[in-house]
Amino acid sequence: MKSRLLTIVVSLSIIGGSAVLSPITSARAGGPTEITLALWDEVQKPIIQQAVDVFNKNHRTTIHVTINSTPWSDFWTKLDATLPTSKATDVTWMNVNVRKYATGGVIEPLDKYIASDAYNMQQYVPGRVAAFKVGTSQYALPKGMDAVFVAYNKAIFAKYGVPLPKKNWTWNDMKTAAAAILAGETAAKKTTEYPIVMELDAQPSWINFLYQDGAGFLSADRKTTNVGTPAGIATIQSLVDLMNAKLMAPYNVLSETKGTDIFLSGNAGMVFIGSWKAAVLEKSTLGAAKNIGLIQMPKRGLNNESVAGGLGYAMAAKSAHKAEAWTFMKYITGHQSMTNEALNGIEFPARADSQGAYAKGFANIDAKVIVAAAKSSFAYPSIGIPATTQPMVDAIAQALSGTVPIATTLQAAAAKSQALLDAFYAVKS
Amino acid sequence: MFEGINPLNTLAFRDEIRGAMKKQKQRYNYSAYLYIAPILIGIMVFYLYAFFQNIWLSFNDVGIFGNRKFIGFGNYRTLFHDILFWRALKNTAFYAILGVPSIVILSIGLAWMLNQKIPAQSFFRTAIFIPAITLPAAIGLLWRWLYNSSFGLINHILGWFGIQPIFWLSDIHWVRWSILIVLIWASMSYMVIILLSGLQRIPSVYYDAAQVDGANTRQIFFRVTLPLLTPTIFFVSVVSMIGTFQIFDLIFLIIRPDSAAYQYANSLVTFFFQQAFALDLRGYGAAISVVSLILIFAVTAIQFRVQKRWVNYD
Repeated sequence: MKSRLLTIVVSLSIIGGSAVLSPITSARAGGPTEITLALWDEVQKPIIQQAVDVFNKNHRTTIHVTINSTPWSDFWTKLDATLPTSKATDVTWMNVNVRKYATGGVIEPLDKYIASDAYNMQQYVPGRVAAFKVGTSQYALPKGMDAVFVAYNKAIFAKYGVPLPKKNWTWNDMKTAAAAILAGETAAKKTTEYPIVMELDAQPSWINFLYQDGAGFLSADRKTTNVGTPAGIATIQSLVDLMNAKLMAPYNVLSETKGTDIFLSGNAGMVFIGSWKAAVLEKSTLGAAKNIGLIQMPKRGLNNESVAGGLGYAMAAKSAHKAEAWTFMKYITGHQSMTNEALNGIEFPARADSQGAYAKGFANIDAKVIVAAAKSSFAYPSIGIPATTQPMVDAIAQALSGTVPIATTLQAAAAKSQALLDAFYAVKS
Repeated sequence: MFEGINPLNTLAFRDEIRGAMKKQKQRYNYSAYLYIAPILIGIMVFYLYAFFQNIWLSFNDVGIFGNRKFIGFGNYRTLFHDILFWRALKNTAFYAILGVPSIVILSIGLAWMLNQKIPAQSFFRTAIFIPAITLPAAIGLLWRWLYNSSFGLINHILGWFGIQPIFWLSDIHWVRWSILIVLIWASMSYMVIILLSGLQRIPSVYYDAAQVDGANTRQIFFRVTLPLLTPTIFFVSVVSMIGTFQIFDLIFLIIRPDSAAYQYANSLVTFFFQQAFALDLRGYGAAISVVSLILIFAVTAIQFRVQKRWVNYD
């Protein structure tokens, strides 16, 4: 009998073990309120940690912030799983996915905090404030903004005697320069060197060109797909033409080795690249040799504007410490913290009073180009339901790979996406 | 236990013993459950509950944050009209039909060679076992570089023979073959170890008898070794079939998911992951996993049925 009782007690304590232990670890009586910040970027983390340390010191008795870093590949999956629960990190990095989380009701609308503090949202760039607005509510405070531009290898231009790109250049100017480089490469029998390379994901490449031609990816109200229109088809066709003319590296090459890596290895004349790679350009061998030039994208049909993404800080709707989280969010997007990020070259701030520090952080590349590109930019089009736009993204990849007829593939995919979008909005209204 | 009982004992005595055992069984049942309770509860929560919930989810339209709507067979209907699903199924069949026999045959060959008295035997045994203890992530990254069209070692070596670079990871006709090669390479080592232990379990008397009868090496291999190895071969083919049906990490790590070639290498599991976690279609993902469960179950059942014809349990 005694042994059976013992068995029961031991078994129950094993089963209940976690429940018994957890309160001991989480409650620290009398100490400051513990809040957590979720982010993914190991490059940015040490700089943000500096700001967090200052914040923790200033709020020694009231708030203590801990950074919770998860790699990009797992970040969103983890966020999906934790945000609806009481284990949610109080503050999290947010990007174009804001719509998904706002619609799901798992992040906190910030309007009442902004109103009660009379917090000045004008200090941030209007486009970035708007980017985190879903419906009429504000869901995140802007951190930074990014922009796409062109980096070129001065050594390659010099080697083949091609004049460097000039401000206000056009797509045709770019093609002329690329053709001159190609001629040089052909003469020198350089088969693994390419005039132009680009990344294949949307943001640093084709989504810009779609808008620069006036075609667009989604309409402004995000209810209509534009990829299957004649203008959209022409945009994608123009990229395939570049590859067919050997002015750009073939799809297969770009899909196996990232455009940025080809460029940094000295094997490309020009690359379409985003500001999030600025620190990489700055620290590269090519950059240190002062061989990297930057210029805004060439003008296509309509303009040369860059798509702009950017991060922000959002608050979990399930956070138990919302007041403390808000205090921290104001600080981390504030002048002191953002100027520090700018000086360290990890972020082009979304607040005007910190932007001046950004260009100072670079010695090897002309960061003023990035600032200019960011100023003439439009918001990344996203409706936050990736399944609705995925057919178009897939179709563009297929079209660029040259394995399918471009027009019919894009039209079919746009129609499929349109049906999904219509269904999505029909449920919503 | 019953073997020790004298068959001359009366029926009544036998019943008495059975009755006593039954009582004893009942008495100890409960505490036994308590002993296994911690693991049992774990299995019920993390396996059984998840298993049935997954089946239930496949009949629902599931939002990202747990909100769901019952839609009957809606997900399954969409699935059977989804060209990407059929492509994934075709690829999975390709890996299974070409991969499993290759894995089994090559593993038998290697195991047989390792079982001979060859120089540096332990070196070869270690070398062949290394992929089994290497992280899939490391294998993926390694092969990604070996296969790289511009900088990869494979194309570089092919270049010595004047062969034009092959786009192993981005040509829609090649990607499946690239994955298949890595799959065979990575799966073989574990199977070799199992087959080797199977080979070593074969009593040497059979070999001695065959030799006395004047059989040559080839005859010994096909008439003695292979038939006696069939139980192990059967085990290896079942395990590699299931493993092949679940191929995920190699594809996910070697080919970039945003590449146009990805869907030509997609397996059922990578397709499931993409739909459920990249596109947030949790219910649809559940339906894909249920279909692959049924397929694995059916194929394994067929294997078990067919084994009666070729597996020798001496």
